[in-house]
Amino acid sequence: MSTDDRLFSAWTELADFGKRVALATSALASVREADVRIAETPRQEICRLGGRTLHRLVRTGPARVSTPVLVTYAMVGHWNVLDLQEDRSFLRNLVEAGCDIYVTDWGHPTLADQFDDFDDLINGYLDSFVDVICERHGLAAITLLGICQGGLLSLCYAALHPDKVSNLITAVTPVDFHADQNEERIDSGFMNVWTRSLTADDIDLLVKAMGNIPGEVGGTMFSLMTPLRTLAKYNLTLVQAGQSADTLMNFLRMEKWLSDRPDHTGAAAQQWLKELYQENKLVRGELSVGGRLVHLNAIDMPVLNIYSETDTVIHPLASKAMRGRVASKDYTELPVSGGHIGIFVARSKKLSNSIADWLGKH
Amino acid sequence: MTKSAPAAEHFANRDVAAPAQPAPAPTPAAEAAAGAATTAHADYLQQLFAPWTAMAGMWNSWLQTAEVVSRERGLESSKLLNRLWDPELWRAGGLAPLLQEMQAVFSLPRFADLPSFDLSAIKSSASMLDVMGLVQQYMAVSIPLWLQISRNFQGEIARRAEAGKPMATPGEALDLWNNVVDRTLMEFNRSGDFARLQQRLLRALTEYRLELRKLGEKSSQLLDMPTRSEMTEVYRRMHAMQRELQELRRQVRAQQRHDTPAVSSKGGS
Repeated sequence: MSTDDRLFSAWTELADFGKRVALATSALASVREADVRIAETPRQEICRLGGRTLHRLVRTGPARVSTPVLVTYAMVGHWNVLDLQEDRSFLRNLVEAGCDIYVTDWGHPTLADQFDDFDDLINGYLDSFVDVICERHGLAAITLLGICQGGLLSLCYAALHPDKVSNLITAVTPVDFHADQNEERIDSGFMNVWTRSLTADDIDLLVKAMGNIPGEVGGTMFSLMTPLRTLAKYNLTLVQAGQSADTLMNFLRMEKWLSDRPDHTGAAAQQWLKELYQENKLVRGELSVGGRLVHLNAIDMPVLNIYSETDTVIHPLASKAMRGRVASKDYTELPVSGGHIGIFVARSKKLSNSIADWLGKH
Repeated sequence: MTKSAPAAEHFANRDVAAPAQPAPAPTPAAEAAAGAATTAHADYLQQLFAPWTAMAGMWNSWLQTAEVVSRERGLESSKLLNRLWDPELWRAGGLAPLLQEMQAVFSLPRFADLPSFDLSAIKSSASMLDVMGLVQQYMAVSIPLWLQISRNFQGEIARRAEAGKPMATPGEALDLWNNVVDRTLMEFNRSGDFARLQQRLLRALTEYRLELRKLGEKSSQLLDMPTRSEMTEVYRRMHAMQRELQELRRQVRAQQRHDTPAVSSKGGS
């Protein structure tokens, strides 16, 4: 290619980029904050304990699965990412597949919640919500579906209260917090590396100073995990997204969810970061919740363990470590492709249908 | 300013003995009188020297005090002050502990009716200096990182040119640049250097916040407002009560379940 050709090509590309920027700007100018709505699947509030709420998603179609499912997401993000928009809603898909879906909403913890630890989250709120659902349906046990940190809380709950859990589903859930060391990957397990670089004293001091761990800390971690994505988000990605109204709204809905980062209660964060990320107590059988040790081999109900080989937040080995540690004779692993959040906001219904099918058989 | 009691006594005695007298005849009585006069002179001299002696005693006491102060505090404080000249101290994290040591070295017993003296305001400034120092170190590490990114990018372009696949369009170059930036930053973010630096930065920021809180709490006390520590204690008690309440609710639910057993037991759908 001659120098003239190269110059011509560069000018053409630059002009094309300018046109794309203008188009994206125009599309963005027509959108107001009120237009960006998430979590629109109809739901009702069933129960409220302090700042925690139990919601039930309204099912209009026939029930295919009679055991209700309590979905618990992480405390570090808001659950509504699971119901991002009508055609990208993990929860809506489950409801449409005939499941009775309840959701734990951890709300936005304030300093008044700073002493809530795993005991409160698991034996307090989760147990109360499970009791409420059991009572509504006249059942002794229900299905738990926990995602990421919510998966760990569900796992602990199932180990401590196996009589109240008929099936356990975990998705992108860390079990062995040091498994990333067995297969170090530059694009995965950054949170593990970062937390291990701190001392237990650093974490105590942070909680003492802040009360709760601010959501911004989690946001910073995610930015460091994918530095370029953060750097390029508002110049390249937004321009790309702004080429059509549909992709722009997807982008803006995700931005809305990302900007709403709840704080993590201080006492639970200390356990999460020190006892799990640093000391890896769960797989060592040393994690104590409410004065009782969490024995994974107490989990004897059917288990479906979902993980992604391309998860950059939770290393797949950390999730797969559940195999052989639970006593369940009916243990299934379901590998899916996609990112840590991407698998729940995908247009495809494959994941929700797989879960509904599995539940239909149990 | 009032004179001290011993000094006033000295001056009073001197005034009584001072009046001038004519020289008496050397009779026994006179000799006796002379003897008395000698005594009076001696007394006069003694009285004359008494303030000097008192002054010397005072200076001596002060010298002894200075010696005690020097022995008890001076050595430690001079060591601490000498450390101020050490450049290592001015690296982030060094100043706050030094000020804490200084506060310990200069501390006095607490007095009931005197205001207490502390260095908390200086400590928060020291924490801020620590944070600023660490931010500078962070910058010092970050800037060479971008030079490294540029070198990696140039190296990658050269490799492609050698392989006969030069950059054809600016878009292609941008993609390559983004990949190089991403990889280099990810490698750095996982490195020991970064981990140590961010750990120190996090700690410095946390300590700075705690020092600021101490100052804020003093202002709150002045304005009769609840302090953060007091609110934390309230939250602690509230949390304990919530736990009790939840336990009671749980017991009620268990009792209700016992009275009216569930329709179906565990076993799935």
